[in-house]
This record gives sequence, C-alpha cells and structure tokens, in this order.
Amino acid sequence: MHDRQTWRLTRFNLRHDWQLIILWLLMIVGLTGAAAGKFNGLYGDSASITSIVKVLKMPAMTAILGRFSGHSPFTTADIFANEMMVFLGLFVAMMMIFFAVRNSRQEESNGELELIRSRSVSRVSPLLAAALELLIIAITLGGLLFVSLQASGMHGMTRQGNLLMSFSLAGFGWAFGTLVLVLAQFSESPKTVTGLSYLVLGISYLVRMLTDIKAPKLSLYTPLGWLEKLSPYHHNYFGPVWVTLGIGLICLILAVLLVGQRDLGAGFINPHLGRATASPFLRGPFSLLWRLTKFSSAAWLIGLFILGMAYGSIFNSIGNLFKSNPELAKIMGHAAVSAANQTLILQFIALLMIVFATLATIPALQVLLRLNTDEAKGQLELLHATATPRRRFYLSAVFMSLLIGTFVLVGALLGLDTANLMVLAHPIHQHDFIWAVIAYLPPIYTTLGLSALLVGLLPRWQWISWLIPAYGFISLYLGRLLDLPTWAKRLTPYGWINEVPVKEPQIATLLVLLLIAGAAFLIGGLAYCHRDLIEN
Amino acid sequence: MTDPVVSIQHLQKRFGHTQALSDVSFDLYPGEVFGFIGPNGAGKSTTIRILLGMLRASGGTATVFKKNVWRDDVAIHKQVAYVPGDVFLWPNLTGGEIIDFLLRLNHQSHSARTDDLIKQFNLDPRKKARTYSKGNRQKVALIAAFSLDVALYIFDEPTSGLDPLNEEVFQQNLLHLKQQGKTVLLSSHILSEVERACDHVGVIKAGRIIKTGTLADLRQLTSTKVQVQTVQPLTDLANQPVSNLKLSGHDTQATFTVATNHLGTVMDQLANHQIVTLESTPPTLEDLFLHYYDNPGDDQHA
Repeated sequence: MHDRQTWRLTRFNLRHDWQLIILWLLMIVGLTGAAAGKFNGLYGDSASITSIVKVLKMPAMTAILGRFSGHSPFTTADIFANEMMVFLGLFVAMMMIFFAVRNSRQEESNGELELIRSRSVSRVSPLLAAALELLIIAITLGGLLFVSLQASGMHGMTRQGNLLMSFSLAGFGWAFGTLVLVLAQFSESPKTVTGLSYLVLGISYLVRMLTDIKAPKLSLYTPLGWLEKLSPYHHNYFGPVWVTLGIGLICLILAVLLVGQRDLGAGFINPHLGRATASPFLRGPFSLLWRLTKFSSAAWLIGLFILGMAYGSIFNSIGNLFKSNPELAKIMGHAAVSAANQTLILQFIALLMIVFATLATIPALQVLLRLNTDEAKGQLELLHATATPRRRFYLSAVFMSLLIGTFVLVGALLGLDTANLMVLAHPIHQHDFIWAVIAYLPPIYTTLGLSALLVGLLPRWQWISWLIPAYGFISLYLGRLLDLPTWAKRLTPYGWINEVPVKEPQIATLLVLLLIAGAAFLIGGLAYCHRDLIEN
Repeated sequence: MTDPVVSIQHLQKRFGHTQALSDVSFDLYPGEVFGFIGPNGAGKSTTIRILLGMLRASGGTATVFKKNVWRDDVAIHKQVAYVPGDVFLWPNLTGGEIIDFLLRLNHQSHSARTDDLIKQFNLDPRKKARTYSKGNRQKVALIAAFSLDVALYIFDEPTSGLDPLNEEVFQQNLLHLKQQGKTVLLSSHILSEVERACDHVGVIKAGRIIKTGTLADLRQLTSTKVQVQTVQPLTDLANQPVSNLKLSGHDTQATFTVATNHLGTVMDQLANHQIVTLESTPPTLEDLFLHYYDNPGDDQHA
C-alpha cells in the first residue's frame, strides 16, 4: 500500500506545484535554448572561437564560469558547454532547493502534513513522494534541455554530448534535491532549511572556484566540480553522472532513515526556551524587524564577506599576465604589464560587482516584502490594532531593507579588499573599492524603491520584484558573452552602472537613480498607508 | 444621553465584486457589553477591521470615541484592545516577548496584572511561538488585551481553541471588565458566551444587521415553551395563539409554545383551568439565533 499512497501524494503535490514547475523549467530551458540558439552567431567561426577560448581560459573567467576543458580544434558546442555548465548547475540547484523545501519541511510546518499523516499514510510516504516529484521534475528538465539543445543546431554538437549535458544537469539537480531532503530533517523551520541548502551550494561553488584556480584536480571532490569534468562533445564521460545519482540515492536513504527517527513537526535541532519578557530594546516595528532578521542578516553579511575574500584571494592569479600569457607579457615590458595586470583585476571586480549587488539585494528585498508576507500570514493584525501608525511599519521596513542592502554590499567589498591587501604585492587602490560601493548602492536602492511601489500599489503582485535582481544578474553576468544589446542590459537599474571601477562612475546617472528610488518609496508609502490591509 | 463609544451608520464594504457588508448600523454606549452574533462569513470580522482602520469602508460612516475610524486610527487605537479570531505570531519570538511588545506598542508596559493573567491562563511565556497550539496563541493575544488599561475592548471570536477552563478564565475577566464599566464588543457565534456577559446584542446576517436590542427585547419576538398540568381539561387551548400544542393525560396536560408577547393572555386563560404544575422555558439565544436564521423572510421586516 506504501507505494500506492506515495504515488497518490506525488500526484497531489504535482497538482499543487505544476504552475511553478512550468515557470522554473521555462526559465532554465528558455535560458539554455536561447543561449544555444545564439551561439552559432556569436562563436560560429574559428577566429571568434580562438579569441573567446583565450578569454575563457583566463583565471578570472575560470573563477566565475568554471575551468575550461577540452582540446583544440574547439567547436561552438565546446564553448557553450564550458561557458554554461556551472552556471546552469547553480540554477538547477536553486530550483531543486525550492521544490524540495516546499514539499518537505514547508508542508510539515504549515500543518498540511499532519492532515495527510492522520490518514493511512506511512511516515516515509510523504518523503518518498517529495523525492519522486523531484525525480519527475529532473527527468522533465533533462528531456526538455535535450530537445532544446538538439533544436539549437550548434556547430560541433553531437547527440551524445547533448544527452550528457541535459541529463547530467538533471541528475545533479535530483541529487542536490535529495540532499535538501536530508537537511530538511534537521531543523523545523523551512527558512533554516533553505538557508542551510544555499550554504551548501555556496560553499561548493566557492571550493570549486578555489580548486579550479589553485588545484584543478581537487575540483573533482565538489558537487559542481563533477559537472565540469564531463567533457561533453569530446570525451563524453558519463561516469560522474552515475556517481551523482548514487549519491542522490544515498541521500534519499539517509533522509528515510532520519524521518523514521523523529516526531512529526520536530527537527533534530531542538528549540530551547527563550525569554519570559521582552528585552527593553523591543519597542517598535523597527526593533521587531531587527529581532526577526538579525541572524539571517548576519549570515548574509558574513557569507558575502567570505565570498568577497574568496574572489579576492585569486587576484594574484588573475592579474598575472606573465603566467596566463607569457609571450604578450614579454613584448609589453614590465611597467606596461603591471598596468595591464591592474586593469585585468579591475575588470574582474567590475564583473563581481554585479554578483555582489544582486546578491545584496536579496536579503534587503526579503525584509521589505515582509510588509505584505507577514500581513498575509496574519502576523501583523495584532500590531495594526495598536497605537502604531502604518507609516511607521512602512518606514521601518524601508530603512531596514536599505541598511541591510548597504551593509551586505559593503561586507562583500571589505572581504574583497581584505584579500586584495593580503595577496597582491601592489594592491588595488582603496578608492576603487569605495567608488564601486558608491556606484552600486543607487541601483540597489532603486530596485528596492520599485519593489516598495509594488508593495504599496499591487500587493498581490509583489513577487514581480524578484525579477529585477534575477534578470539584472542574468542579463549583465552573461550579457557580454551572449552579446545582449545595450537596451536589454539596461532594463534593470544595475545595467546603468558603467563598468565601475574600470571607469569612473557617472554621478548624474547615480543621482537620477536615487531620485527614482526616492519617488518610488514615497508613492509606495502613500499607497500603503491608504489602502486596505490584506488580511483574509 | 451620553455619546456612543462606537457608532456605525449604514456601513458598506465591497471587495471587488463581492458585497461583504451591505447595511450595518449599531451604536455601543459606554459601559455596554455588546454581543455581535452571526454565523461565519456574515461580516463580523470585516466590520471589526473597518472599526480598527485596517479596511476602508465603501459607504456609510463609522466612528469610535466620535473620531473617524479611518483617519484617526492611531488616536483611537490608544484606547482600544483587540483580540482577533485567528492569532498568528512570529515563530521565533516567545509568548512573553510578544505580550510585552504588544503592550509597548500601545505605550503601556508589563504590569503585575500581566503576570497575574499569565498565571490565570496558565501560559508558559518562555516557549517560542512556533511551539504554541492555537489555544496558546489565543491566550497570548488575550493576556496582552486584558492587561491593557483602555476604554474599549474588541474581541473577535476570542475563545475559539480555548479549553473549558481557559474559557472560564476568559469569562471571569470579561465580567471584571464589565464591573469596571468598560465598553466591550464581543463578536461570537458561541451563544452561551454572549448570553452570559452581554446586555445588548446585534444579529448580523449576510452583511446586514437584522436585529439589535437588549436580550429581553429580542426574547419578546420569540416563543416561550410551556409545560402545564391543570385540573380541568385544556381542549379550548387550541383557540389560543399557541403552536405545537400537544395534549395528554385526558387533556389535562399540555405542552405548547407561545409567542412571548402573547404570554400574558395565555396565562390568564390557563389560570381559569386551575393550574397544578407549570414550567416555562424562556428562549435561549440558540433559539433566537435559529429564529433569525431559519426564516429567510425575516430580515425584510426587521
């Protein structure tokens, strides 16, 4: 009966999730298909291939996109595989974290699981149902990726290579999803589980970066490293795919063992008793937000500081023309080479700024959107009946989000600068870091402002806010490699910042961004204070 | 006559195409405990949320302390305590923290009364809200409300989820407020609760107030059940304004119901038959409730 109930639950979950699944799949498959379709135009001839291979082999690109593998003659498909693999792996993992948490811990903490478990459903069935849904998503993803790659007609692609690319990503995603199911057994809060999962993903990305730069062989020991070692369109190593699936299976067994050991709704990390009375600082909406977000904000700050340090620690490999291009370095002469090295690092920083700015937006946006998400959960109803005006709730959320965005970005650059001072004999100047912060704070504020507008005017559509940093990241991070037109890169506020710190920031643009942010905050606030609250 | 604490005139509220409230009017005077009764979805919570400035009325007027509920919400809230029907709390905060925080938002603080209430309701304030049951979350809101010293208390189905012991604690505290002369708006569909504490009630049905008045007023409009035994046969009782008449024991025993306003006439008639025993049961709020809800035509002439 076990398996029939599992299947029944899976169908029930799928009915719940199918729209979201389609949205995620469309995003990932669409991105892959669009990129693959464009690649013949971008890197169709041998001249453009030779030049992009040089770029991709530079340490900076290795750090970001993964190590370039394979041997010449290179085809368009090789470029595609090397450029997109790690990146797509990240996206697939994010999707799997989303669905794994949703169907395990979130369902449990909502109390839905209690209803299900009261029927003749075993302790393990809901977990297996979640794993099965992840598998269905993964297989669909693999199939769709394969079809879209086949249809792209890239030069040099093979059916076997396309198969490997598609299903290695699918397998990786499924294995990561089952890992999340294990993590879901430990904490009773879905937010903590999501946080832990992203921590694992982040660490595995960072470790891969460091090993790719310093000791490529060791990358084999990181989950994202397996994706790099497949050599699609060349050797077509299917070995790592089986390893991934095996690890997924082990994770699943572990999760099953763990779920059998614990109480419904409980985690292995038990909550302890807290304060009987509130601290004297807990006085208003702002201190409440601080109380609610201090741990996650600190985690973001430390996380981005470490990310910054990790990127900064490879500055010496990036700004080393003697190593990466010895012939050129010989011709240029010493002084010119050290200037060129500096420029290479600055370019690397300019690219990193997009990562940092969009990442710093995430915790800031989360706080801002709480105005409506906590409201919808009914948590604010008690507060709105007290003698605290609505504008204080709004202003508190706005200021807290601005503070978090600012501090997290500063934290990332402090990390970058710390490593800069440690690893470089001639470190990058301090003012370059300061300018980078000054240039990238306004687009973060503008994104928050536009989101506040949605919070006030269209509370039910506030999730659209997430598209701004998401699209900003994709359009700018990959925009150059995909040769996106300028207007397409300028659809988000981040796209208006011109390669700072390589170039000077344009003060006028920054001021306009700040003005837009200010106006949007104002209108959003007025709307928020003059509309119905979204209690149900 | 003193000014009403709460005054609602022809209040309306639409959500898109749904008309949640079509005509709600009632007044609440100082020291009154007003029972706001009606089934789920009739518009009780919507009315209360308009009173608290969370929702904006689409028509009509509503004032609290003679102030506009939408514009002067903050000034009003200084003198209001509120307990919603579903209490949701932040999972990471403890019950004690939330109680103190709510008091501070109203510029008041944790007092001996708060400690006393925590003891009365038997709440462990050190536990995180995530571990609280529905009843315990409700207690957090009740403790925070009862320990506020304000003029108006609004309870929206406050005892859902409470066990009988805690329900009793709630009733005691409600009566305590009444003795202190506080004004209370108690929305409920648990009629025994309303019957015990409220002197005035308003019945709402499908977004419309169909009856307001004192419990005594309302009882006038419904029937009393009478069981009687007489010496002489009661055959002529059929000519009286009674219904559900049942005769037994050689027509000397009867049970029937009679509209409360005809009770006097019928009693006079019975007295002529030499009463042996008489038992009359006044209508409960349950009967009132069913009376108003079972007769769809009733709201027209109300």
